[in-house]
Amino acid sequence: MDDRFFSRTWHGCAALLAWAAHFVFCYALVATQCSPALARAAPPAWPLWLASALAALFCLLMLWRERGALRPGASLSQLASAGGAVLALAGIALTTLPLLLLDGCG
Amino acid sequence: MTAGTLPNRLPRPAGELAQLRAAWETPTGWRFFKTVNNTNIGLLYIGTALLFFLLAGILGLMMRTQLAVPENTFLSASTYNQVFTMHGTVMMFLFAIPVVEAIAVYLLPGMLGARDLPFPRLSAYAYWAYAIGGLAFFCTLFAGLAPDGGWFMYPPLTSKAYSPGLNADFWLLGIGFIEISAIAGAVELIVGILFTRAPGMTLSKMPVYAWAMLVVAVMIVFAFPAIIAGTALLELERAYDWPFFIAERGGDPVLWQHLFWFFGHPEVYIIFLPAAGMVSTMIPSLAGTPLVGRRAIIVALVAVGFFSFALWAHHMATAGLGLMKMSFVAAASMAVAVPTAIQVFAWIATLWRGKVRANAPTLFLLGFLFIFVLGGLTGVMVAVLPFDWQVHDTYFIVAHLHYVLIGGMLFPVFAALYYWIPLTRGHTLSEPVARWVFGFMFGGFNLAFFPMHITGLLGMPRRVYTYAPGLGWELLNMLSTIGAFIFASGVLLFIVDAVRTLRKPEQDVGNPWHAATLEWLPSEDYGNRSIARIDSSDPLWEQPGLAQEVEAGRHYLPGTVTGLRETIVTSRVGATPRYLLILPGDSWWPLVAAAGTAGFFLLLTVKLTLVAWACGLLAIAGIIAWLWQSDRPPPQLHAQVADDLVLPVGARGAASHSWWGTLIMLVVDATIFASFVFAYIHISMRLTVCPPPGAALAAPLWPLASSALLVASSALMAWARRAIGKPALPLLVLAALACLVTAFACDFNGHRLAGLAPTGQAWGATIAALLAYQGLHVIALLLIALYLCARAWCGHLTQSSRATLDNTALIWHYTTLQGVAGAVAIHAVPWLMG
Repeated sequence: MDDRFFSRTWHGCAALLAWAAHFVFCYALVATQCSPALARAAPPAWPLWLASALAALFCLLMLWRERGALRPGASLSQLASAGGAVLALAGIALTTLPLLLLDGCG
Repeated sequence: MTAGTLPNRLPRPAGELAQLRAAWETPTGWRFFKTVNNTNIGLLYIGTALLFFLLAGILGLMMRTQLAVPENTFLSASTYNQVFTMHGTVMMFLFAIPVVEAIAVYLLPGMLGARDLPFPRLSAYAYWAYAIGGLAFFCTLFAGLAPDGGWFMYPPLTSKAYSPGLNADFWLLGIGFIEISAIAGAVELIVGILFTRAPGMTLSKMPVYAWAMLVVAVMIVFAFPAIIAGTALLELERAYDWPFFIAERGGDPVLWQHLFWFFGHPEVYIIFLPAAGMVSTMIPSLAGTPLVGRRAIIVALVAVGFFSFALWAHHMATAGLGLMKMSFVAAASMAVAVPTAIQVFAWIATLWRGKVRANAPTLFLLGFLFIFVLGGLTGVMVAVLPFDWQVHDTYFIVAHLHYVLIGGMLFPVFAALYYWIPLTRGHTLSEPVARWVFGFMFGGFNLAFFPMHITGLLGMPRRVYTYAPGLGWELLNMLSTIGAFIFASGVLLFIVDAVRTLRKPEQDVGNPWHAATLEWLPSEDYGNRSIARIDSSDPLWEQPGLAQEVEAGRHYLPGTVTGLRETIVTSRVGATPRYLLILPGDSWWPLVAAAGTAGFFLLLTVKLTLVAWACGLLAIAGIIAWLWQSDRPPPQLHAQVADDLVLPVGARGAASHSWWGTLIMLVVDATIFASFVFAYIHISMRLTVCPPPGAALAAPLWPLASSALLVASSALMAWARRAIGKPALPLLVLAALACLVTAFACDFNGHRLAGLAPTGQAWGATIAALLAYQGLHVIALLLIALYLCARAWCGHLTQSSRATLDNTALIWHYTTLQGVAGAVAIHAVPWLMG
């Protein structure tokens, strides 16, 4: 019955989930660092950079793994994985941009 | 595929078709209202949604009349507040979301090749709850009790202090049934799309529209819980003075904005993606060529679904969230433009590659492309924070949101109405009239809403009931009003033409657009005579004899094996036949349950508490009566659906559709719980010391005891699952129930001893909300356990009818998990904050 539904779904969405995890981590970390109880003038930015690098690396690995996605006969799951990785990479790059422009809580 | 390899031989047995017709016959006269067939429910649903569109449109015209000239007295300030609130609320909650679900409920059985979707009674319940509740909600306007705090109901304006009347309560409780209805629809769509596709319709061959609806239904599952939690918290504040949003008692009005927009922004895509799916289905037919970049569009749909959840806070750019956080959200707002643009380019490429005729659906699709792209561009503009700070809450935003919603949803819906209306009685609408309709709607729309960009840049705020002369807004407002009435005349002309066409005698539908998808196969109440086996994503183009073969009964399940309503369940990825699903027949119970649900919410609002609870009990009784008839041993264990294919009848455990339905409901449940946990964390993070002075956590003994008892109750339920058919089963269930109730009592007592005071400060109120939510589950499981025992004592729990037991166990284990997670969250946050 299963025909690997969950593993295929996971495979197709993995890069987008990485983007989501990266976004949630960045937002939640800044929200926490800038909350009244923990507010600091200049919270460190390196955890955000590290998370961005890891998320981007994961997407690049997904892309490498699915490098045959544009060949004839590639499955939808392969294309979803590769296409999702490209889009997720663009999303991660955009989320990382404010780190170049702003400090601390902004 | 050659005729010799088709699933069934000719001739078909005498009486097979008559038996099939009898099983699926739609009741006539007043009994029609007990129909549960999704095709009938879909039509009722679409009609009702369009009625709400007209009603909300009239409210829009009233607003435009008021604003046509400065210092107008057509509407008073308080009436205007109600009118604009109801216009937004009705358009979003009673038209936009329902109409896209309604069209899906109507189209998908045919498009997927199913006789019906798996939970027709759930669809009927969802529709009636929406229709009855929605009409009653709208009527509050006539009593001056309509909500008046804007469609997103921000506190503190909507708190008891500033909105002491019932108006805000009608919004908060009134949309409760709409949320229930939307979630029920989402469950039906997810399970229907994954389980009832025609054999051979793999996920990669599934129509793009079905993909869009799958993404949308999953989005509903994750987005709607936030607004359910938000409305529950605001109503608890209003009714019991639990100060979640009152700043002086540790609450935070911004919490509401987070919860509302975590629903509200994905909602924009919940409305847009079905329209995009329709566009991707219509354009290939109208251009006569396969969709360019079909698989890229599917990937883009999924990506939009993901990205849309990170956009919630771009509605809160002026709420003071902090520049870094807002920049993350602005970045996501720009990222979402990428997958959206992929779809737009693919549509343009398909039109470019094909041969397009300027018929009615094409005109509306071109109108959609023009308007939606403009709306998307202003969306990118407001994603730039400094620009948003300038135009926030001005008419620029009103223009932007109407360009997105009317362009991105209404024009495609009108294209869809022109395109699919022949499915109802076989007639297309008049082409010459359609040109006038399009001209009025397209011209009127742009005349009404384009000037609003300028009015907004000139500084006119939204939601003002009048304005002073001499501000330079007069001409622009007058143009907008004239445009609105021209737009409305287009809609009116469409209605006249639709009524005229639908009154014509019924004729064969045929395939007027030379479409490639299965909904254009010949069909009656039972759907297609036989369930098609397909081997292409454009089956009607690439299997030219398919319509005749299906109609002759040469494909799967050409009759009814058990004499009941049935459809074939296929595997989720490869769409290979798995089992025969027996569907429930027509019934009054969904209507009774829906009336009870709507009555409960609405009467509770007007403080008719006893009658409201009577309605609530009626709803529960209706649901129990409808469920009591289901999950019975099948009349036979196996069914021959083709010459060489015998399938089991029904399935159990994870293979069963009802198990999946329950699982999806539990995901909704878990997301509501997560929203309450978010509220607790958000309020805690505003504190410098947690717990705040005067408050305390429960002693660790109590949550530990509660968690141990919850685990014990789950273990007893797991044991009960293995005791099916044995007299010990009800005893095990009752023992599990005793553990569960005791666990909750421990939890409650721990907080009581710690002096929990929900009215004192927001921190305590959020803990009380988490505790109350767990209590709600205990009450629900109490009812379910007694129901389960009754079924066991009546002999309705057997190895071939055990879905009730399996699903109850699933809910039970979830409640255990939730109880333990709640206890951990409550204690972990203060510990992490030091």
